[in-house]
Amino acid sequence: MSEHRQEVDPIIGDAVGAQLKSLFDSFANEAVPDRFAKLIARLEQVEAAEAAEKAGDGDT
Amino acid sequence: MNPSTEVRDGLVAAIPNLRAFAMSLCGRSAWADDLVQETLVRAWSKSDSYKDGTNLMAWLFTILRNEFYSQLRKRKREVEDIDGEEASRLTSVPDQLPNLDLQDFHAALALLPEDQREAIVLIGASGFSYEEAAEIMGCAVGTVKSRLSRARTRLTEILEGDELSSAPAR
Repeated sequence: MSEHRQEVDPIIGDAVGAQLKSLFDSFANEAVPDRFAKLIARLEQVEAAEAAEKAGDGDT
Repeated sequence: MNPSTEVRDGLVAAIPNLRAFAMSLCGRSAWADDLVQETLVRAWSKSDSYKDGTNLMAWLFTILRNEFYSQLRKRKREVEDIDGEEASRLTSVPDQLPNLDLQDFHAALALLPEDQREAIVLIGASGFSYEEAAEIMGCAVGTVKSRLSRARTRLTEILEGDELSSAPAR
């Protein structure tokens, strides 16, 4: 995303633009569910396990 | 492929905006979070295709957008087998927002065709330039502007008319 633009897009116009930003911001400001932190942790674990396995292969 | 620190940190930081984009596309639903999860998994596994220093957010939005259309096509096929009318309501989902104006606006947004909805969200809410949105949507800048214009006109018609009160229960 380029620098977040504050001005309203001329095609969209003020009225629609303001509501659109309010709606998007209300979604973006919601608390992020735990499932995503758990997902990142799981991906990191898999990555670490794969790295360890590769290192083990290299030793043999 | 293991993601770089830039990508890993960028993925985590992007989650709120990815969720907002997903909810704008398909409603405030479990489907939106499933889309974000699939986006994160794909981005993690395909991180070698991301070039450090380029636009990470646009790359992630592209993955999410493509996944949305892929799943939408699949869902429409499945639902059309049962009831063709229901297929057209797939992106109209239950919605509970604290502000009634926003709730109406979200309902109106859900009535737009998907291509117009993504254009207006990418430009008007997510802060992408026309060029970035065109790249994400895989179309020309002129097409983005045209979809944007039609989306604005249609949204205004819906909000000023009586379509929301006569729309199926959400």
